[in-house]
Amino acid sequence: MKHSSRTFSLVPSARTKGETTTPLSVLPAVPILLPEWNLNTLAIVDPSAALSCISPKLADSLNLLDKSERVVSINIAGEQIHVPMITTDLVIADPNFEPWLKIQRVSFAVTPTAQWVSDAAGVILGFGGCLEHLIVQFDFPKRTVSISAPNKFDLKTANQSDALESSRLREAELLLSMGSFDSAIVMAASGIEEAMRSTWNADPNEMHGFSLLRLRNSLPPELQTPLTRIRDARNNAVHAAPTARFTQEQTSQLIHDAWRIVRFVLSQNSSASAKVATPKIAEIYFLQGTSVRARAQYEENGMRVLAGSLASRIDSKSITNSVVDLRKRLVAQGILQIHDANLYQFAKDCHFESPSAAAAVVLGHSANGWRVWRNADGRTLDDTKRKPA
Amino acid sequence: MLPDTTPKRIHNLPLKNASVFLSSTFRDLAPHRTILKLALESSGYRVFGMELFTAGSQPPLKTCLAELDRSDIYIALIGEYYGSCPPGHKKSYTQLEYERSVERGMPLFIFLTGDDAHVTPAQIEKDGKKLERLNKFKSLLKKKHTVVLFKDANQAAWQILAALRKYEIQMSERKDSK
Repeated sequence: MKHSSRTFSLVPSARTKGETTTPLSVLPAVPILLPEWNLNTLAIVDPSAALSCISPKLADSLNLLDKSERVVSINIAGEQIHVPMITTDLVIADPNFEPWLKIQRVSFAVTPTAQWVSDAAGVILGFGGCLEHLIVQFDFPKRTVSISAPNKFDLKTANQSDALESSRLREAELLLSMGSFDSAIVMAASGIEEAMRSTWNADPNEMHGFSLLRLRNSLPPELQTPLTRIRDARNNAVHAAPTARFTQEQTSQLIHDAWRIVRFVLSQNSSASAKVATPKIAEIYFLQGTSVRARAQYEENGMRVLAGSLASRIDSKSITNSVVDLRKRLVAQGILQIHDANLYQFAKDCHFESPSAAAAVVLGHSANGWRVWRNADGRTLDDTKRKPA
Repeated sequence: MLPDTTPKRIHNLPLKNASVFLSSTFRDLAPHRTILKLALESSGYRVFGMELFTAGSQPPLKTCLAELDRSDIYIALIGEYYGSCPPGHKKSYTQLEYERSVERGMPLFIFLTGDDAHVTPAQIEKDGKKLERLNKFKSLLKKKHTVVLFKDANQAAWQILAALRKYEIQMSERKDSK
């Protein structure tokens, strides 16, 4: 299996909590992105942690605590406690902060404040679901940590077919070479199902029976006949009388077809997941005033202000009636909720027809949205969307 | 002779929980800021001037300078980019912050990108006038202060912690000798 690896310098630190005589030490920190939460930070790599964790302060600032799907029981210093758990996709960036690896559905336990040495890093990457996929090597004399991952996690190489891994099809080839043709065919068919499962996140219970037929409709015509052939052969191998034997040539052809189908299915997957995965940090635009703080995404037909953004409650003199009406309507719809004396908070994402409308609602006065929304690089919408570099 | 680092001396460090104002452009030095923030905060310093910038849009100059006035130590990280200027000013935020810190007589630590630093074309100032001001600013810094050159974010972090450490020891020695 091919690997992709990067070496990170350890971040220096001095005087950790509770120890005043600590000399300079090092923190194994890697840049990460959590695209679903628009978070871009450094995470501490801790192979001794059973689970990945997030600090309650950070979780709270991202409004994640309401979203926690389940509670887990964990053992901290001999004490069994229940903590909320949140699951999201994780992207590890390379030393230049460019997105590098994607690990899907990593669970983060929100561990109590007392467990965190400092507020400096809010995320710890632990073993379960995260580091178990990676090879992590510390080199303390050189003050580096190198991380290697199978190519399937690498955002750049995940599309290439040489990164393709289907253990069941490899097993089918092995069975073929051993002369167990029936078993090889059954294994090849299950290899296709495995690829489907990983692609569409289908419910495993739904996979039986019609699964291969469902796949058929999404395949290009030249792969549909081979798929039907594999399905029939599988059914024969399982149910038919032992007299109906397959030849080595037939089996080999079927496994070859299975590879073609699996490659197709997985290539669909990686292009689809790459679309979701590639963190669009640049596509998030920010608007920040003395107290307002809003995040939004640029869309073809306007601007989507993201939930959690803060908008001014104060209407300035320059505000137009249409904006006043729009703000009233959003309050009535429950999208804008009162946050404190001066601020509203967006309770959910809200689409606006223009960047300026979104900016006016956030600021409480008219503004040129093309000039006030800026991305993480400080570039305006005008710079990024109207005059491409 | 080995330096004397008995616990007694370190307990009395004058800068315990000191707050550090980190002044730099955002566009080209964002990864440096992230790493420095972790290094400084995990070492017990409070870092100002960071959160204000992370959202991309520049806050008003008044807010920046108010943050600076709350801080004990000033650190400037200067790359190859002059940065944006507040409305009505010809000098950049970074340079104005520097001038304020000199006025206030704060301890200053100046870090410049070294010749061996990895700089992408996007991180280099292209505006001719701004480039001229950047070079002027840098030569002023080199003339007036002992500057430290850094290669990358991690090296900058090591150097900053080491410089702060050295400063703390100097300060505690001064305190002891009084």
